[in-house]
Amino acid sequence: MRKWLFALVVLIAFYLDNVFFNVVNILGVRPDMTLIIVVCFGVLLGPGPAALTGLAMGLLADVLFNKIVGLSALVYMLSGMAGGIFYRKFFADNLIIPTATAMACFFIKEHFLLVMTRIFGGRPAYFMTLASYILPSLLLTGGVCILVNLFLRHNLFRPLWRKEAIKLEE
Amino acid sequence: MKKLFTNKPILITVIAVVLLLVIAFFSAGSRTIPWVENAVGTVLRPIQTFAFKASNSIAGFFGNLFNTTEADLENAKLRQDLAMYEQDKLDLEELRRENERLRGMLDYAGTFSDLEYMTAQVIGTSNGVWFDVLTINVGRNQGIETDMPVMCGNGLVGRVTDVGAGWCKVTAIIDSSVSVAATVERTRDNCMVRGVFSTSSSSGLELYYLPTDLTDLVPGDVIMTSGIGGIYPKGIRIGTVEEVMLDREGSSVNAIVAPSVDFLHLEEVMVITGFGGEN
Repeated sequence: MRKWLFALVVLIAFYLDNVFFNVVNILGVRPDMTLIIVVCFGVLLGPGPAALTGLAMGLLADVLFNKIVGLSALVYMLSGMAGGIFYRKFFADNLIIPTATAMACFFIKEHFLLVMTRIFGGRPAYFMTLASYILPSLLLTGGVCILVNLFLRHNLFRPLWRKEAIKLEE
Repeated sequence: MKKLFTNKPILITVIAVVLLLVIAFFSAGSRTIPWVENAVGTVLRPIQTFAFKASNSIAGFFGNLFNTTEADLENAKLRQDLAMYEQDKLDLEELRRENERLRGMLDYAGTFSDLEYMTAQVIGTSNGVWFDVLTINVGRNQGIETDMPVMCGNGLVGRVTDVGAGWCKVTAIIDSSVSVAATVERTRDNCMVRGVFSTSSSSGLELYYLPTDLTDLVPGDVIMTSGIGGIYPKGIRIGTVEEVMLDREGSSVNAIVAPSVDFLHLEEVMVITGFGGEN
């Protein structure tokens, strides 16, 4: 049952990120749901599952929608690993760690994509892009990450941890 | 270095990163999609189509909600009756719009009688602001090949860059990496038009390489494809000049061009299949 819930969360994030927010956004500003989910999984589940989830979600998005296959997969896989660095190193109810990690990963990801856009012939103006898209989206991603993290902990991870605690007691 | 090869997670990560970079490098240009990608795309195409349409409907619903002028629905019973009527009206309106769009496409296509077309539906758009790529529901099985031009009733959309069995990806002309050889309709001056990167939804185009001593470009001039380069047929509308500027040296004219296609609300397109590069 729990696995299905994880799968459902991943699917919803994938849908929101690749379909819904392409249509509904605030002047292009939107949260990166895939990155949020992957980083939260990294902090709460460990680097392995998070990197795999990021790789799968990124590859699927690349194949179905994106210009270059492999770029999103690479970024999300590494974001999962970055989140995994903090796995079991902080209290699970710490909201700052996943939020700060997601925001840092988003910042690096967007700069990586900016460089790739330049390599492929695009000419985005750096400061304009930073002010009108990267920073507002970064803040939105951070805000949504707090909500997603709370939701994941209460609905998916708390029952999981409870089971682990009972096992340990036995 | 030795530690790198003995640490399994790091080794796997490094291999994955290298593999993904290689895949990204080879998938960057125009290509025929390999079978694995093809299978994934084909299996997920119906879901993708449904999800895209559902999102458009949700956006449309909220759009209608904010733009409504029927603020007098106070009575509950009347509201119920009206809801049914509204639904019928929406269906009719949707059909009317679709009919209009398709009629417009056919009328426009009629002006290029020597070309062959295949109509397709847009089933996805690229994620984020960095690239402008559309996924449409025709592919190799329908005779689509890379570099085929794509247009709609209002003008040029882009060209096919990746082809799967029943779907393909179209790089739009508003993508900042795309340049199109163009002609100013009124003066017949040849120039180039390229996509301008924009983080907002209103992506635009930029006209460049137009010598100042040879042109009297003014706002409102219509820009069309010139046919030079052999990818796009001659005479397809690209957009309208909005603002004319001199470059820094004052030797050539640049202009901001508003695309004639509304890329935000693009639902149906036509792939030009019978164009061999000759005009």
